[in-house]
Amino acid sequence: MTVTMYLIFIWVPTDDVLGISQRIFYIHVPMGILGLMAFPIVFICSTTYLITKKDTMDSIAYSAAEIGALFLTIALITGMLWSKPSWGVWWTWSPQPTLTLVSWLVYIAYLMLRAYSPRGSQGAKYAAVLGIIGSVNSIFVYLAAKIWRDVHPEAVVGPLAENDSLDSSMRIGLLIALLAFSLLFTYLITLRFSTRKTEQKIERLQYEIN
Amino acid sequence: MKSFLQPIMAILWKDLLTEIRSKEIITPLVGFSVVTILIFSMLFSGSSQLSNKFASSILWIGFTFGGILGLIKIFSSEKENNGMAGLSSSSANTEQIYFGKLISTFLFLSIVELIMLPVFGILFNIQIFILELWLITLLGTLGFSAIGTTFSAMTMNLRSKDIMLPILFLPIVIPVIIAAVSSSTEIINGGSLSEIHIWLELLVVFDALFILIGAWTFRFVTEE
Amino acid sequence: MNEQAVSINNLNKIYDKKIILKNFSLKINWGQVATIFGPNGSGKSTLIRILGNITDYDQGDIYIQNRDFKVNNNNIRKTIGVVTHQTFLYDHLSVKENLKYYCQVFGISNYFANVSTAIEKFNLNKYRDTHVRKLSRGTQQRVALARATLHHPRILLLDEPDSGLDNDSLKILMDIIDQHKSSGGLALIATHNLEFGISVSDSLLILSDGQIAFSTNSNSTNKELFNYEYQKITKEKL
Repeated sequence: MTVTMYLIFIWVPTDDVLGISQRIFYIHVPMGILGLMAFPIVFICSTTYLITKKDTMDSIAYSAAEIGALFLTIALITGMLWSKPSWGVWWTWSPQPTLTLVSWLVYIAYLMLRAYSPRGSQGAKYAAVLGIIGSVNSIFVYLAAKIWRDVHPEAVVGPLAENDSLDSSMRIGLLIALLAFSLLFTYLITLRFSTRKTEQKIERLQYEIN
Repeated sequence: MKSFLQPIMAILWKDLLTEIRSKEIITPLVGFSVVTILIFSMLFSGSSQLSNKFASSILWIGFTFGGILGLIKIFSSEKENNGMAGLSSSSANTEQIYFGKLISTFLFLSIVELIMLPVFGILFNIQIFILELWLITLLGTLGFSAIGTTFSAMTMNLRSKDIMLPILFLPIVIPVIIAAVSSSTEIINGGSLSEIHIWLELLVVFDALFILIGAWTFRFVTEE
Repeated sequence: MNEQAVSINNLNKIYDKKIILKNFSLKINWGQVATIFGPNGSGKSTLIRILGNITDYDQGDIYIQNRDFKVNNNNIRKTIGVVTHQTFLYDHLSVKENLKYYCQVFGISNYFANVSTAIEKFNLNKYRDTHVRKLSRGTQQRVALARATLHHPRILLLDEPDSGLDNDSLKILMDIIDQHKSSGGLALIATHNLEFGISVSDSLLILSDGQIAFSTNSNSTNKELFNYEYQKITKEKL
């Protein structure tokens, strides 16, 4: 992590046009990508849970959704912070931010659903169904937002449009940042997962006492 | 085939009969949606160019919020004496129950659309007798119902279901709304079918996929 | 033929952090009526709802006619009729329409005859065109019983079927249970009414905290002893 931070803030050359604010890019992009990467995890684990009813699968899906929500929150905030000095607006409705925001809403809905449904298998089943629908939906959100922008091309300003203009050390910096944040992402999910395991164990012990 | 359809038709018949007698869904929905687009039309009055661009957005805003009210209600007849449990305990498949509820949801929302489109045409001075416009509306409504049925059944058993349904439902229907609004705007402003075929494809794939997912997952949202 | 009609092994059900059923096992044979007693919240209703495919269970197996309950449960469901606290009826539909609806849901093609017999059997002729919401609780209960027996199930699951019934209706119910039994059917009943429960059933169970606390064969035990056990277990809970 320290190495990444060093690379991001010191080693990578400052962007000619965008200036120092461009450095936030190395946090923003990995956060966005990894936040969305939680969807396939949620999708696979939710489907497996509904078929096999294994609590482990549900716990992984839950943990992934939590960390996904966290990463996307950071991606949204850094995105806005970066967008303001670069393009003069806090928000644009190009495909990536649209997808990020809608996905974030889906994760929030997922977490709220878990909070509002009964504990145990029923809540887990509801959440799994939402997880599946939400993950599949994210593809449609992206497509819809993309076609929409293609129809109205005057609004196209996307972070990915910038990718071609990255110089090589910037690209290396981005890759290393992505790698480092992937490790953090995996670590956080495992951490949440083991916490949840312990919670379940405590619950089971409570049952046995009663 | 007939034995597969029988429970589905029974559910549809029961929902229609209940609706004719209780008038709980269609009437309030039309009222709410019409008032919503009326207010928007009033606020946008005097700027005909603007309203041409935003007319279909307003229609779908009215329809989305009215639709949510309808979805909250669509399972209320199953809730009163837990008819849903009666269905689960019967030999009908959950897929059949899902299709039955999906068809009645789709029918109710389509009837609301049927009434709203002329109102919309009058208020915004728009020619509504275009086949493509109706096609888009129906496809959008189908996608809306496919997801709505699942979430309506799910939130039926939740605490504060009236607030949970929109929170779960709205982010998921965003693609449908974008596709419907964008293609209707195109059509209203004289676009042809070839210009919107990509939207139609998106809607068809969306509908088909979510009907399949809905049919498969329905048993998990109805088991108590 | 070594066929066990209903066999429940180590059933566990947890709902919202509470244990409802704990390693519950029970076997019932054809031609047998089993009645479960127990304080409120002891798991009686949940057991009936699980067997009626309304509620899911967490662990354990259920075999009905030696077939796994979770696999190909459609055909199994055809042989089961359920009555719970909720009537499953639609308020805005008349008695006849409700019964016709459930016939269709059960895939019965000749629903006209089935509906007529059911209405006849439960003495509902007077109310056949009355909307369910206008009926009294007792009459609704009779319609619910008619609904559950529409498809002539071999297995009857009745959760407090006697609630709200007057003496005449109770008589009809007891006749139906007797008929059901003599034709080789099986019934599982949950009730608070000792008199009713003891008179219709072969085996009696008392459920407490999701486990069987006491069980006996109704012809080998006297009423007083059972009553004593029942009072004891119910009091412990209070």
